[in-house]
Amino acid sequence: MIRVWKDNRERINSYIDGTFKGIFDQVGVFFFECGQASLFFVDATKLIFKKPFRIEEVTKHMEFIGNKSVLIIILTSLFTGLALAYQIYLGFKLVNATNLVGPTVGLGITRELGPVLTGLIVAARAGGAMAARLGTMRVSEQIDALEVMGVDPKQYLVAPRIVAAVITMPLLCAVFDFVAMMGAHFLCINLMGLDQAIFWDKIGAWLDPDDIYQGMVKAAVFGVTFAAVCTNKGFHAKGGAKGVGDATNQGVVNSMVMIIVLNFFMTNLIRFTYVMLGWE
Amino acid sequence: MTSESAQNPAAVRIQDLRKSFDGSDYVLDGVNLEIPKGKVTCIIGFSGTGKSVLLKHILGILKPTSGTIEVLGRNLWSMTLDELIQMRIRLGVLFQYSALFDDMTVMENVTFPIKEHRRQLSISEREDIADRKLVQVGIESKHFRKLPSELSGGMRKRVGLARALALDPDILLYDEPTTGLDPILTEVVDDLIVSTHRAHPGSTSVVVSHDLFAAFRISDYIVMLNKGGVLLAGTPDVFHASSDKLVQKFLIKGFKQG
Repeated sequence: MIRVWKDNRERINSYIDGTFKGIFDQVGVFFFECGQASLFFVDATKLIFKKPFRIEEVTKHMEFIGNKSVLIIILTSLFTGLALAYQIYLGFKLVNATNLVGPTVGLGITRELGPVLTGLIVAARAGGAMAARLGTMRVSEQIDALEVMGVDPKQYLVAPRIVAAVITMPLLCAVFDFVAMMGAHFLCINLMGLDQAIFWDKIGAWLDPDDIYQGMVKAAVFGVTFAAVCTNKGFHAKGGAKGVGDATNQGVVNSMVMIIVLNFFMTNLIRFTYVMLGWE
Repeated sequence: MTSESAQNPAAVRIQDLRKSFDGSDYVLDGVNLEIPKGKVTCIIGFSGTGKSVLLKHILGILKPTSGTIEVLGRNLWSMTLDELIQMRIRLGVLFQYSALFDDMTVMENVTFPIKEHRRQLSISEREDIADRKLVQVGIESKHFRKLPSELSGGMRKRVGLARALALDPDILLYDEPTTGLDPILTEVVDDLIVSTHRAHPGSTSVVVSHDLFAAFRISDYIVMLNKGGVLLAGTPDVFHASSDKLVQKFLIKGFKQG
């Protein structure tokens, strides 16, 4: 009996060891890739300011990241606004505080959900496409072709994508905020019968333009994050179609995890900065 | 160019080149080689002997673990990045699978290097140059607005060659130009290499290939790689006269397959 228990204990211990080792290995790989993407980002950022300026490329990628994401952002933000407003309405109704549904939804959307969901959606759509495109270019020697033509591939392929993401993400976040608030407004006023004047009055009293700016700054940082992570993955892809698939998968997953982790630290950093500057 | 030619009869000079990707296994292990200027040189060898790796070193895409590579009299790895870019403009490359930009048309592909490096030229001037290069390699104007995905393998090779020629390079490099082509198309591409070389007097052509027939048909000079080093280098006659067993084996097998 004791022997069986000992055997089981050793087996369980080895499972636990293996599990923790796996987790720590994954965490190690994640941090290594964060570092690699940061160095890649620094390299590419330096090239933004080097001639020739790639204005044409930047606008082309802005169109892809921005314009082509608007519809999906409108759709997701509308339903996010509706669902969030409904949940908050149900909760606040219990304590007879339905007047505060508007500002609560507003703060949640502008500070957190707007930038984070915009980041996640655009990372999945545009980030995945970036990693796949660059990965395909790498394995089909198109990046080598650029290099031997005397064109810096990082300057031509990576830097314009990062710039385009930084410019378009705050704009997409603003669209998200606006449409989500319209959704919340529709639910609260048209479906739940709250007073429109009170709804907007409370939003005006509780919500600052700063809350919207914070969200937009976060969105810009998330833009840099997914652009750097996904282009880095695609740029260094190897091993044919499988390599491109792996690069795309890892690029999107790492971007999403980084956006969520960064969001927590940015929220704290922004609060800390406000307190230090005496703005609160 | 003239004084440079007099001082450096070799277009490419490689000394004791070693390359390892993992720090222990050397793909290239002490390559010493001179590629003569103004000639068609073919680099041959069994699969996995480092032919393409050698080509990437000549292009400056890969950095050697040790050794030096001089292209047109300049050591590639003692140059600044801007100097390296200027050097690369003097090289044209036809990649194994053409490496055409798949989001650009045939015309855009060929005008791309001109647009990047001859910014003073107008769009119509760039297109005139591209037009001439495309006609030179046998592409009809009806294909100019097509995407690479709409072209056959042979046509993609031609467009790739036109793009490599766009800036009138001093050295033209071909990475396995006939891989994946049928025997008739292989001959067409071989003829294209020779005619292109003749149309650009003074230019140097370097062809990496495992196709022995092609090597002996088009080359003035042949380099055979084996086990990361140069086994034999010389004119086709030198190869025919060689008593080296490995060279003989390669020749017999190669010609049998052909």
